[in-house]
Amino acid sequence: MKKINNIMMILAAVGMGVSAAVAGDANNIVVDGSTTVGPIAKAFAEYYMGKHQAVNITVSESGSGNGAKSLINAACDVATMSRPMKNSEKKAAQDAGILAIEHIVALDGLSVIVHPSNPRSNLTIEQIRDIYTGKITNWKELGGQDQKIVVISRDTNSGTYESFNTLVLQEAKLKGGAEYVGSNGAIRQRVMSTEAAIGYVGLAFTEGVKSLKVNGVAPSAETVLAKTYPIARPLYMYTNGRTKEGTALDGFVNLYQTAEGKRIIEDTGFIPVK
Amino acid sequence: MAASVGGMCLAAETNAPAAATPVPVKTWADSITLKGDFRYRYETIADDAKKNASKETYTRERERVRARLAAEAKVNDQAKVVIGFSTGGNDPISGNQTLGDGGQKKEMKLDLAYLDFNFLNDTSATELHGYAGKMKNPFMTMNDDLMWDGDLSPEGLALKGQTGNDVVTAYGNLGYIWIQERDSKDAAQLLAGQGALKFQFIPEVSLTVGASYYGFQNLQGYDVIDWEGKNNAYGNTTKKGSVSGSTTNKAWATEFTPVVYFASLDFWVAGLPVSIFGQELSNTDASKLDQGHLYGVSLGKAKNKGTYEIGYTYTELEKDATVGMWTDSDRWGGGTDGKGSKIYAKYQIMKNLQLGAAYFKDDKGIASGKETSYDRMQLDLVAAF
Repeated sequence: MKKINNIMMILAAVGMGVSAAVAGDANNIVVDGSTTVGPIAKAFAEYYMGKHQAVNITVSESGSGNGAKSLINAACDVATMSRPMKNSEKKAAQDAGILAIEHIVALDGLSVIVHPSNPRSNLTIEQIRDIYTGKITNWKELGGQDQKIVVISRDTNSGTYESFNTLVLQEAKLKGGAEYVGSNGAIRQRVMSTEAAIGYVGLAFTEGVKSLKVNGVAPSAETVLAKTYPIARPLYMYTNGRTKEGTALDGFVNLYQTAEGKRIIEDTGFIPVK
Repeated sequence: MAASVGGMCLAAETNAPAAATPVPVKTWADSITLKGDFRYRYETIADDAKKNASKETYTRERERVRARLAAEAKVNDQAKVVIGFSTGGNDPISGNQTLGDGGQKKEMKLDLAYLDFNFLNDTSATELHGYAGKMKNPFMTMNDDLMWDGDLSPEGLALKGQTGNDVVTAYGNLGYIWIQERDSKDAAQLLAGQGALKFQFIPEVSLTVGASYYGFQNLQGYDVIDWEGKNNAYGNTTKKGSVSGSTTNKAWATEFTPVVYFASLDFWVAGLPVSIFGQELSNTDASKLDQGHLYGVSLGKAKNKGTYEIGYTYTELEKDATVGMWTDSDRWGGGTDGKGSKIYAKYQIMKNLQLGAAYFKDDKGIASGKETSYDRMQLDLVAAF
């Protein structure tokens, strides 16, 4: 029994020591996740820190999936995601004692982009799917020049890829030989520099490239809000539990509901939630 | 491209044009994930049914280790194979190895070997997975469970599905499980079906209700399956079985078709998850001693550094309620024909390192009218990787 008592005392001492070491800092906010939502989070952070000097916000962009992992592992306060949490992520959060609360902070349309010299101005969802699955491989099959199509995609860990996979590919397998790149900016850059390329990016990443109409509808804030543009999606922030009113976290996450927050969202090329 | 603006770390892209950064080419090693855990356990057992030479209850003290290592290999976008090893002997519900046998090398055996095929994309609200091989338990279980020990890895085929929306999720699981293959007699198998509904009223509150049907085939009249070689039926009623030399084996006296109803109310209090759960079991093939009950509550989750979990469970499992060889091996020493309470606590010391303590206060041998007390205390240090 003496042995058990000694063990219990050791456990209690370790417990007290660790409890003291893990106290959090309410003015230090860590944000991690989507590269698509990243510009919004960064702009929010810059604005919020400008208004509240005592608050420090760090924003990382490791992808939607890694944002979810960070929240589940209590490594961040806010996970930014360009897709909703998967069932498996919700289950992992529950098992970790994390109450994942969803905040839809903005809307986005996925623009299908080509080089500015490309004569096409419109593609149907089916044609885009056929290009990405390898059924259409040359622009001449679509009335263009005799050029092999260079297919650019986001890496499969990204929320943008998963949205595209759901909304356009409808779970069909991407063609072999497609190029995978790690960010929206990298896709745009690749398409800007490659005449025969096609890619897809968030609405905010279309400068210097040509955005195609999809099913005859141009990607824009108006068409996304009117739900006429077929490749649109909400953008998310997830927190562990509901934010407490008056805290820096609450102020930061709910910026999207304020007039200033909506202006920031528009400035970054996304669409505020009505 | 990393920059710093005030306290803000800009770790990736901005809206400005960025250089194309192709994703590195993946190698075979990228498709394999290694996972495992190690547990060091100190435990005491005071079993009134086991007296020492002075006819006194002796408190056994021992220290044990359990180590598990599994590789998860992505076959393609829809399939993966899991192969895992665990310390342990022939016991299907324990990977423990007791320290103190002259420093002998410990056995490590195949614990998992299965294919997981995902019929749908897991981003959709509907999921359907098929499993083949020696797998993790495919059935929904409670924090503690009347039917299953957590270390059991069933063998056969299983199908797990779920569909729903933000408010209601429906779960359905099917199992075709091998129990004993016999060369000249019908094999013992388990055909099982399970259905459940989860109602998510608000993010903080959910209710899960469900039912399970476990149809064990060809156990009655067959010799009990005993990996210890002690003719042990793990609590179940027996009759005379086959004769082997001078030994008359024990055979199961009844068949088992347990039906289990279960419910779990999960909610959050002061930032901590609370779960109140229960199971009611009835073996529809037995005429008596065929009931099981389990009620419990847990608070918190020990996962991230500094988090903790505490809980209490009351369990009662009559002699022929279910097959004793696969039930929890800790409460009253395993098997059926017992009742009692368990309290436990877990504390996450740091990332992937956890302390745990559990105390069991049980009675066993109830059907005979000569019940004896069984107290067990466990202290665990668990490292996961």
